[in-house]
Amino acid sequence: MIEFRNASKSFDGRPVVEDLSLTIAAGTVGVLIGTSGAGKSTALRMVNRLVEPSAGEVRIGGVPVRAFRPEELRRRIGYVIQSVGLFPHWTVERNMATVPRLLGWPRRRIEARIDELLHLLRLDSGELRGRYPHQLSGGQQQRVGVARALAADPDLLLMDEPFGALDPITRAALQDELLRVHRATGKTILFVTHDIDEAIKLGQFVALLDRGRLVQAGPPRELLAAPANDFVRDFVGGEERGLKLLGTETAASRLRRGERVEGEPVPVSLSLNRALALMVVRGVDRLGVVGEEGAPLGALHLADLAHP
Amino acid sequence: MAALAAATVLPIACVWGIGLDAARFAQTASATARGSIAAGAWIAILAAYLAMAEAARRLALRAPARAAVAALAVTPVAILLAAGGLDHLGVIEEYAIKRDVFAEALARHGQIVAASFLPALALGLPLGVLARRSARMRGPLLATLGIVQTIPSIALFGLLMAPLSGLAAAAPWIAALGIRGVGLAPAAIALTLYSLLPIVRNTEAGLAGVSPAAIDAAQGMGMSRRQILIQVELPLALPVILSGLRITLVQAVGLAAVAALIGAGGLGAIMFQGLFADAGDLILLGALPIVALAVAVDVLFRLLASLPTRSAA
Repeated sequence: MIEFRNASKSFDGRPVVEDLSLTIAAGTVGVLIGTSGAGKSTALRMVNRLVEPSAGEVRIGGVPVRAFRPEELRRRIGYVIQSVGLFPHWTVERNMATVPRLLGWPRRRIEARIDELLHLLRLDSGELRGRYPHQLSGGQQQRVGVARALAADPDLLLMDEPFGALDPITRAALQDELLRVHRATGKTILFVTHDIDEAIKLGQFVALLDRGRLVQAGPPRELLAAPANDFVRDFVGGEERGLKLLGTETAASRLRRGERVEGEPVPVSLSLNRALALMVVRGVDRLGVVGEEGAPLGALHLADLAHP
Repeated sequence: MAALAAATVLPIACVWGIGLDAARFAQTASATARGSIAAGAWIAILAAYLAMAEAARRLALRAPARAAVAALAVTPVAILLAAGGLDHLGVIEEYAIKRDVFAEALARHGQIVAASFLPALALGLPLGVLARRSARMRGPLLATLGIVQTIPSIALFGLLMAPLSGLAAAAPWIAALGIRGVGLAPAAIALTLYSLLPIVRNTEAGLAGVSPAAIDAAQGMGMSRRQILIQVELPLALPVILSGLRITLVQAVGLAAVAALIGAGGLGAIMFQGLFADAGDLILLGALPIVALAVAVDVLFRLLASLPTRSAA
């Protein structure tokens, strides 16, 4: 659990984060979102003491981070940044071993952990271990960055716009990957982004910051359905937020069980915004829905999308 | 590639021809006469090597290949030399006479360079790190070292003579260490001062060029400042630092020649002896090895800097 308690930070008298209070529950993905200069990175860096708050404090699991030596604290927290920050003079393997080596793990344990992580992040195809960062694609580099952050099995992962520099397809793949890793490991993740779609997709809890102040925080659905003010409404996409709202649910939630429809069916896990798009493309107002195994489950009606 | 091959053959042919000529001359002239290389031949050799360097540049060779080309150009001349093909050239005849003096001078030259390079390294690297860490120190430090660089070497040697001899006179134990107004001590001190600027400047620049993301990541993962410096910053700055060391050494090899004027000895002593006696071959005996040494250091360090920096995983 991460708690910001009235945390503030000024650089040269200019406030960057003002009186931020926020709690991210253990085992969840919390997203800090905002435009550039909103203070989200500064807030994130307070957690591992790369930035010390001018006032207020940050607690992890109820303990103020000030109570730890910065180096020891950071070795227990995974850290991933946008420009990846892989060490160009070290191989993939050596990069991933950074924190375990700092912690003085025996060689064999480090080897075993690297094998495990290469497998977890699907980097074990081909001989990636011995390569240097410049020999990897952008997506592979960021996977290695995530693997490196997970190396010493931290309970907490800080990610500062980690996928910002990637092309949309690679980014989507890595977002899926991160959700999979999160399900598999149950880490608490604090994620910074300026991309509302990324926030909705990844976050169980989203906090929108503007010029250093918290504007609204809650589950993504809440920000979309009940924006606190015009800024939030515009930020979450204005009228288009309706589509994003549909994106937070799957066909399962509006299913009319047992009904049969002609035409190619869609899987029950399909998000509602995609289902709507499909109806427009096909020129129909209902779709057949099938389960994971392909067994027919029911139907999805256009009218139900507007009125739950 | 053909141009490079031709350019490589050309200087070798020049040198060989000169050797043959000198041999013919030696048969006809008296025993004390010396066959020297005339201006025309120098220009031909120079032009040939320039053509070679240009050909190598056009081919955009990587450092190891460039070093190989350099070796290719030098090896035949060395073989010719060893085989006695140039024995009748004045400079070689001088060498035959002064063999012992030459070996001593060469060793002394190396000693002067080492005596300035090692302290400069031990001082320059920390100062370079300091210049990077403290923006307030950077300006004054680099400015001071820059001013030192502008002092002509002979003037600096002269400036050091008085205080050092005073020091030696005042404290006998300093004199016992071999520190006097003339000789190795002022030479080594002056060369150390000259060597500091390239080392400090390149260390600072190399550290400044390290990607901020790598440093941020290192810090964020819990490396201490010391660990970041040793494991991340210095290895990544190494190519630039090596290039600073290359400049330093090439400069020191050249400046050590001038140190002969204050009694430090070395190849410069042979060179100046020739200069004052108006003996061209003696000048060459001092000067050519200095050039060869400087070029060898240059090639070696370029080669080192081009090697991929790896750490033992």
